[in-house]
Amino acid sequence: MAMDDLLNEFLTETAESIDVVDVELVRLEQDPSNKEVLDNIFRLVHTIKGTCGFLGLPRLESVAHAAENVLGKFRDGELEVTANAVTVILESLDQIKEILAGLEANEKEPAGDDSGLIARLDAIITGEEAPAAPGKSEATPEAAVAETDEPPIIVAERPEKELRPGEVSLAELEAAFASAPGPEGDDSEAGDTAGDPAADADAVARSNENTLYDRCGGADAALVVAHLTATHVNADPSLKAFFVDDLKPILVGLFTAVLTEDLASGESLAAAGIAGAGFGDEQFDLFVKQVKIAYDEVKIDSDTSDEACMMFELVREAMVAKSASLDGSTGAATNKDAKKPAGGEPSRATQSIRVNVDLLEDLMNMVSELVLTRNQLLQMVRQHDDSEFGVPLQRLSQCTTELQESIMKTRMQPIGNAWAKLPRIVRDLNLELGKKIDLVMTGQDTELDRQVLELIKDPLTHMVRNSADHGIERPVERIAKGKPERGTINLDAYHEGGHIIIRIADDGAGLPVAKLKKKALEQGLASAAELDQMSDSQIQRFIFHAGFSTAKEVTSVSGRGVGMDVVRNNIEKIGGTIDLTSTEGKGTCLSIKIPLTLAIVSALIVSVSGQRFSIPQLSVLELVRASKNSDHTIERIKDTPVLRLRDRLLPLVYLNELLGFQTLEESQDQSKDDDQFIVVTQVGSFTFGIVVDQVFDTEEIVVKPVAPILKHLSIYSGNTILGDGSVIMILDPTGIAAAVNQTTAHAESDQVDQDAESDIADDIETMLLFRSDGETQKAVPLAMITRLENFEIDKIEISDDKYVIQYRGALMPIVCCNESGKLDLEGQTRQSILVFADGDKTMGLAVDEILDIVEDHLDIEIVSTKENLIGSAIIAGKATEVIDVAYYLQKAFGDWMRQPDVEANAAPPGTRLLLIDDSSFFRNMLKPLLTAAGYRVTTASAAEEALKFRESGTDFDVIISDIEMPGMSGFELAEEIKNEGRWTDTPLVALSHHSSEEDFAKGRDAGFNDYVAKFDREALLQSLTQQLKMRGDAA
Amino acid sequence: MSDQDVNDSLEVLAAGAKEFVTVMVDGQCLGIPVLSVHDVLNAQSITRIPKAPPSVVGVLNLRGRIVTAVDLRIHLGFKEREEGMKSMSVVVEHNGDPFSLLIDSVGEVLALPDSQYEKTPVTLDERLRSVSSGIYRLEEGIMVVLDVARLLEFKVEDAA
Repeated sequence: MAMDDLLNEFLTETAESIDVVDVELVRLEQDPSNKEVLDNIFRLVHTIKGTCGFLGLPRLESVAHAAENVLGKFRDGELEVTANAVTVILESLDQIKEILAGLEANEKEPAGDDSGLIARLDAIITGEEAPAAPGKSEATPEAAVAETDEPPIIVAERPEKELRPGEVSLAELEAAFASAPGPEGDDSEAGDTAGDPAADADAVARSNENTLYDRCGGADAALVVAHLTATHVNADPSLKAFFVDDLKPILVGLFTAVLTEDLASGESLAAAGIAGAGFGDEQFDLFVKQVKIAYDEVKIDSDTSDEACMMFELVREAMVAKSASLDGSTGAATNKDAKKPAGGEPSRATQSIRVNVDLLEDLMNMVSELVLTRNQLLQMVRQHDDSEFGVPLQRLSQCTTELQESIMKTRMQPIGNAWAKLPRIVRDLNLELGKKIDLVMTGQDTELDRQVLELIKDPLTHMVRNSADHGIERPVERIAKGKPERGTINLDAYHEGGHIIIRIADDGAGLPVAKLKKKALEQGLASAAELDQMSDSQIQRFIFHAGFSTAKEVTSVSGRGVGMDVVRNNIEKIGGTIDLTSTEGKGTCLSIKIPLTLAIVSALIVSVSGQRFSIPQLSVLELVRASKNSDHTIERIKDTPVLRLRDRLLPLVYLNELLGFQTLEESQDQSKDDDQFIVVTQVGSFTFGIVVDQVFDTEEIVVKPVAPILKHLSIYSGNTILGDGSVIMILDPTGIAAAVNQTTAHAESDQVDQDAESDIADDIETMLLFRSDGETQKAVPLAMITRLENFEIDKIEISDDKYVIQYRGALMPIVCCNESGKLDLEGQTRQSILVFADGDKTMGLAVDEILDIVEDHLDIEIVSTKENLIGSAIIAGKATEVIDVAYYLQKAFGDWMRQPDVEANAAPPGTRLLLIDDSSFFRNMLKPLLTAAGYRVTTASAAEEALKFRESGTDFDVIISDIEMPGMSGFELAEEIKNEGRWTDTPLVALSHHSSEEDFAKGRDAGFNDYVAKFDREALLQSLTQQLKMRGDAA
Repeated sequence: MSDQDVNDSLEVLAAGAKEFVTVMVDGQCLGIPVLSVHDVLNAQSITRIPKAPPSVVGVLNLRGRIVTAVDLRIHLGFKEREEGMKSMSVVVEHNGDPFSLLIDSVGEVLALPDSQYEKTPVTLDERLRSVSSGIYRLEEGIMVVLDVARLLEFKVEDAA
């Protein structure tokens, strides 16, 4: 093995070991009594030291050695594991890393002075009695011996005196080494060095010149003895068969390694020398005998050669094990096999080999090409119906798929690899910032592509840093806030679909909304008015903008010029999304969703204007075909194309227009005539439709980056070669979403927020405007409407004197919005119907014409006396009648609900009311009614959402809550509200479908002040005024 | 300037001559250093890239590699190619990315002595001058030497 290779191997192995030690040390600090962890650390540092000695790296060796001494003391229980000691050891690891970096760059140790560090390590051993002087003479006897640069003397002597050959295991030797600095060790050393009664310090100096290696004649002798031994072994038929042919060079290394007590190298060299099975203890003894003979031949004195032969016991296990496992496995693997049990570790058969990452990359690329070629072949064969190539190609295809999967697997790494450095970082932060933070990691084994792993490493580190630095408060503050003194950062990873989800949650201070607002205003990211309309979560998302940091001052920890904007960019670059939830005072949770792999993705091939494009399947939710005759048609609200899909309105973008093939008008004209396909796409929580001309099949594609000159085109994420050999551009849904909606941050404000948001924003309401009965404009909240339909008149039938229509397999009653209550069927061919649905009840409201959809304040100015109207308001600049859907529902179903007397139950103006109901239908129906009665209504779709208002400090005069809700039920909510917080005195009214006496009692027990049946709106209004009155009386 | 280019120019100094592939663009003879030419292709099927800069006409598949095609006519401000007009491509590499330069036709490989070399006249059209590293006087006319690095470098700035 060439020196370069050795060095490379050493660098790789050491780097790995050091990373492990980093993590283990932090574990040790938390749990100083954990013997296993300590042993592990000790073993790793010891190996590093040993290998350094073998490779002639004095600087590294001395630092590792000093650190090892401290660890040895820990292990023997002579020293307590203190934060200070661990810090110094960590520092020495950093030093080692630095030297390693220099070594890697220049293939030699960089110059430098480690005496300060070594002195501090030594000082720890001596109980910090002699901190300044690095001199060995000042150390106590124990330390002096431990500091011996060449410990083999001590180690070698003990086995010689106490142990029979074959009884020495590596663990025992290590233990012997560590316990050597006892009085016995001193004695034996004194005895061995020809009775020289000099001080221990002198013994150290002497041992430097007088190591076993030197006494055996140094390098020259090693060469000669190796040659002689090789000759003897080759001459001995009972030995020759077990060894490799070219034994001499290996033996030279082996002798050097063994005599300098370099176990790792010794073992691997020893194993490398073995080439035949059946090499047992007997053969080993024979081999050692040959060594002894060789030493005698070069006139090394008998005692010394005995000692040298004894050292060979160190490699006995390695050699025997290698021979026993001779089945083609590499020497290195066997070496590990032999070493692990010896080190007291749980024995695990090492079935792995080290492979260069570049090689894997190459393999991946080749497989990618293979997949492409396979696709190409499949395409060609598909065109010929019964090609003889069919069957073999099938097999090829299958093999390729399996090969691809296997190669993908080789690239998978546990995410724990990216986290390895985090415990250390958090620990250092604890010390630096005077905080107490626990890092709890779960799901370390979750695997993802190493390319992705590399890309998220830094963002992750950054986010954990942020959590520790900005998130978690100082212990004093935490105690003051009534939180546990120790903060916790939870790091969690798990798979979900084709994605991996990583969550970083802390129980710190959360993001200060007020501060963020101020900052956003200062930076001109939003106007004060806009900010007022934003929900807390929208404001908190500002941290993803460039140059946004909430920390008061820039600490050395975070605020290094990398902000969350960079984190977000990095994550979005790999097709991931990042989301944030934060509650002031409670903590912050960041969740990242990233694809498992970037290399091969499944893509949907679509075309516009005769040109094909692909859209990554991961972001495609569904495909909808829109044509004149199908359920789905593309509609327009003013000039904006939308699609009604189930109960949602989907914004649409014409790919033809986006790519500049057509103008918007042309696209819309085309969509009138031709069938079009809508690719429903999701980016983050923003869903939109991409209108394309045609949809082909899906294909596995290998994403290749576009040329740098095209990088600025955010609508493409790359390009690829298809099965037919043509190049195709890959569309980037994220980029398209951004193009559709320049303020993506806005778009991301998920549906959950929608209600709260629009309400907090002082009643901005989306209303559908329509006309019926003359010219008066009428309005109804859009959210109540499930569908807009346009039926042919002859489909409407009359049954039981009511209009009905067969709709989706059931009869739907149709109610006319006009005064007469009769449909004006003459001269019409089609009738516009607004469909309202709640649960299984569906009703159609016939109107003359749908005018527009607008966003405006719903401010009922005149409460109506007509029972079919809630009142009149100014919407879109015109007086508009806001209809009461409940009235028509009643007409359709009779018993559904009674009409309330709004005026009799009017609330004092400005009364703040919180309405919690998971049914958006009910929320939207009750809201106009309550608004008309004078309440300022805020709605929440879940109990949890309602509690957020409480946490953000919003007060209400009265709260209405549904009982049956997913998640937290109304009863639980009531208990929570009455239990603590600022709402304990706020009257609570329950709404429920169940209105038995029993239910009422249960509601009252839970803390509700009143209980109202859900459809009894009059009772609700009465109850509300009553509660407010009672509260007013009490106050 | 990449290492490759430096090497190219050193070679010229040593030999006292330099080899060029001549190409024709709208009647103008252009020279591309022979060492930077990877391939010469006939007309290929090119996938257009909507929204790309006008001179980037698309991408094509060259033996499994995706090559970005740049039309020199548009790029250098010549008359635009007419419908049905023949074209050829010269494949060059810039910063490790392959580019296919669309030209009208490829001429020959010429070894030209340095004595025929002259600096780009300052009066030359700015667009051509900014990407040329000099001219050679040929018997049948003037050949403008294209500096591939600058030609495609300029693209990046253009795009940004």
